[in-house]
Amino acid sequence: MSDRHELLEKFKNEAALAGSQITLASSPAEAADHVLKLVKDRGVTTVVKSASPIADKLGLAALLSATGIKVMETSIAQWAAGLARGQDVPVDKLAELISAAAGEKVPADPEAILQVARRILKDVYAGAGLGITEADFGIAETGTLVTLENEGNARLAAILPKLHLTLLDGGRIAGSLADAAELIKDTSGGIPGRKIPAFITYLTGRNTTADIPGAIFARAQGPAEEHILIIEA
Amino acid sequence: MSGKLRKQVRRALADDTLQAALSRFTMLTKFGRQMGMTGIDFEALRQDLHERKKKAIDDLPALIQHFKENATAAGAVIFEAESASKANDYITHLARERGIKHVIKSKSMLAEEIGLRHHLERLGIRVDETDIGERIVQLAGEKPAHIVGPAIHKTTEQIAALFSELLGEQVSTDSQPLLDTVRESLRQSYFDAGMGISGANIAIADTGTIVILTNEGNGQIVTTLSPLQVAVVGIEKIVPGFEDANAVLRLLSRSCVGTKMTIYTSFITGTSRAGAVSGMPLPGGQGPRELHIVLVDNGRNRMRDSDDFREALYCIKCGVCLNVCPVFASLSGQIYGHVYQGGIGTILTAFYHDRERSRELAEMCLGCMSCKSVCPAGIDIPDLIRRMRAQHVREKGLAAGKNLAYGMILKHPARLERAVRACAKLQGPFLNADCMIKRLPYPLKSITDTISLPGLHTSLLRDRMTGYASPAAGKAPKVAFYSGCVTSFAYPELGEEVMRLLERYELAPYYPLEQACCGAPAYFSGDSSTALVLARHNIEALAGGDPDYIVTVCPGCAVMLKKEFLSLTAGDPELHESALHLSGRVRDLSQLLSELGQRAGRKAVEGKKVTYHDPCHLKRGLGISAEPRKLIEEAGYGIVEMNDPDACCGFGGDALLAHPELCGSILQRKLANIEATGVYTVVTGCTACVLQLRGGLHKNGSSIKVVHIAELLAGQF
Repeated sequence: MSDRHELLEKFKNEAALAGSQITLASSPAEAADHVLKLVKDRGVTTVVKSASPIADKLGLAALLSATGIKVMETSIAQWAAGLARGQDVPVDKLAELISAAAGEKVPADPEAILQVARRILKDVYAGAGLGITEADFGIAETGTLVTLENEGNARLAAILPKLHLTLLDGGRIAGSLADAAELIKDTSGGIPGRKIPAFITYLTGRNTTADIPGAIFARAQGPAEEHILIIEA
Repeated sequence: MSGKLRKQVRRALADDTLQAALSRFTMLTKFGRQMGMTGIDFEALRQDLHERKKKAIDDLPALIQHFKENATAAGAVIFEAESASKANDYITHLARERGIKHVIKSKSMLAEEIGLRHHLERLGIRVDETDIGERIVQLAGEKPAHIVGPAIHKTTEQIAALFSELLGEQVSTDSQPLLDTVRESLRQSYFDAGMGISGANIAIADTGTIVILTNEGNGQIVTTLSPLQVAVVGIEKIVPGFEDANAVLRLLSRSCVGTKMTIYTSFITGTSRAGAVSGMPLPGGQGPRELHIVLVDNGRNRMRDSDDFREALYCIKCGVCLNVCPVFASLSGQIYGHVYQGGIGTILTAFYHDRERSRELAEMCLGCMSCKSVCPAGIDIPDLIRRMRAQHVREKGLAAGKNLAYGMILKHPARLERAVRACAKLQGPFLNADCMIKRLPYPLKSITDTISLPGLHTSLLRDRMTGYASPAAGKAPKVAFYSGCVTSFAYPELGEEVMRLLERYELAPYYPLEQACCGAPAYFSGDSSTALVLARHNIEALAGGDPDYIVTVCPGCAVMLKKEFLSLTAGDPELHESALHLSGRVRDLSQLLSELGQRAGRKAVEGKKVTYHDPCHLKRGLGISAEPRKLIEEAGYGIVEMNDPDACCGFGGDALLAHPELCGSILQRKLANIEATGVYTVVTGCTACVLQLRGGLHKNGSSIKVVHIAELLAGQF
């Protein structure tokens, strides 16, 4: 337990040094309050999110929607499910729903659906005030968040919106880069031929640039703020 | 020696805007490095990385195969390009076949190396660089100034002018609004482009993964948004597994920028996949639907096959060697002419671009070893430069002047001495009242434009040492004094002080009369045959009297005796054995005196302040920097540390002759740091540094005294 505590402390310190803003929530209610407050303070009206068991557990999407904020899921499957209001619909019906969203006729064909979904979602990311993603684990040594995925939507939700919030289970902190590599080895990504997921993204702090003279500037091309919400439940 | 390069050097030195940008850059990176090295065992980490890169390069053919299999299984398409043109052809063909009009690109030195952007642009394809620095040099029509910071030489005014022209509106020259404008102008490109091009910092064979690092985040956007992705990857970037990649990650950002990790580190394995909709699987995800990995050789296998230069492939392109290079700090990176800068760039240029340019660039290296001391991959860059010079000498012979100086004179100790005695007789008309030479005629004029030279003595050290030809009988330990040329010919009185000092320490000093030049000037110019002749001569001369120690006052000579003689004699087992014996006995004077412990002498007047200059070969060549400081303080002096005490003074063999203005600019930075301490005495431990610093201060009309530590300590008794 003290080991877990130490890892968490180290992670928090390192991530803060790298420019992230860290909040520790000791209950689901506290966590949800933090997100609602952040959204309110920053005047966010649209949130994009990638799949997150923590967000589901907190009922975050519903809580945000209840305050009038538009919440968009960004995996194509969940985005499509959103259009169908969670109903199981046949592909013809789905194509109609997508056509309505796209303002053009989309055939009931996986290739066409994929292309349109990519195009629509691009604009959704760019227009969002906040991206919410969940990290698979953190790395204490460097204050790094590690996110595994095959689709690429979590990467885009993490970088294109104006603000980014990462949810992290406080019990999932690896000690070092070496420990992280061990954890990754066990995640095949579930796709034949592939030993690891298509994307493993290490995010350490807030994006910067030193290419404009004067200082090292924050907010180069990613979000203006990096928030980490650690759930210690 | 190239007149064109020398002109470019002069132009860079005279460019005040560039010089101001370089000062800012140097300060920033120095601070970054201090941060980055805090809390880690750098030596252990770099040894680990060195060994892993060595193994990877040794196993490269198998690793390439392994990488291909795993990347292909994950959905990537691999193309192996043996040359720049094959890589460009593949990518331009792909772009044309898919009807691509607009490409976004994250920074890749390899793409610069092969000229990829220009090949695409020539076909009418718009290419937008997305790294802000790279975007700036793209708009300026220039080459990157630095591996990691392409636009470090630009001011905000220059950057604002470039974007004003691009956007057709007046852009603010204040940093923050300028950055906002640049960001917004890049944003739309990401969404419009049909193809993304990136490089890779690492490739992992076990999983077929490419690893891409950016701090700005542009790499993450570029490698995800476009369905058609191309990554250009140098074959030397392939490592076996994740732990090898970690070894790179542990040092890359720490070395160059000073942060523990680059902000975005993307491990990309094959193409992206999404879940099913309405029970129907989708044919791809939101990232790449096609990932083409172009593995580029372009001279790398040739480098791998050459025993002399294979080590250069361990480079992880962190750029820290540029951050500490005094030549880079004076000139910036565009002077190098192709894509890669600094010492490592000099080597890479020879294999990827232009051997002749590389040979010229090699003349700029001062051999200060700053790059070697910070390289996270443990590459001995100055020795690679020396090998480059040696290769040229082997193939083309020495330049006429050097052939005369080294082959005809230096190689023959008696001739050298006769030449010095002759010069001592002829120097009269040039000698000032204070025995300094302020002006010499061509071809030595350029040297005296920078520093005043000491007059030569008609009575050389050897003439004064006949009474010390062998150690006093029955006394121990026996210490042979190896004086080096500067002491022998220019500062014989310093040599006499050394003998007095050694006697005060109750040692049995003697002066082997047959000693000759250590061969360093020839060796570092690539003339190994002259150096070997002199190594043999000295090994024999210094074995006489069977000394317990051989003491030096010139660390450049000490490095030759202790280290370089070993590599020079590698082909002759018997001589090598003697070189080993010699090597174990060589001590720098301050090192020996520290080992022996304090001796009671007269202390300096309390409160007397001096500053100390670390000679390159003493600090980085022999690892000695605490010992001289301790001796100075024990003698009663207070040390006022100057800014960058271990920065080179600009005395660097080949460079001094080929680029005197460059050496002069490096010297002036050192002198400014000395003057800023406000003290009137600078102490150092190298006779060549003494010559350079005295010469520069004399030329500047300064009253600051330069004292060799031997003189300072001898003055106590």
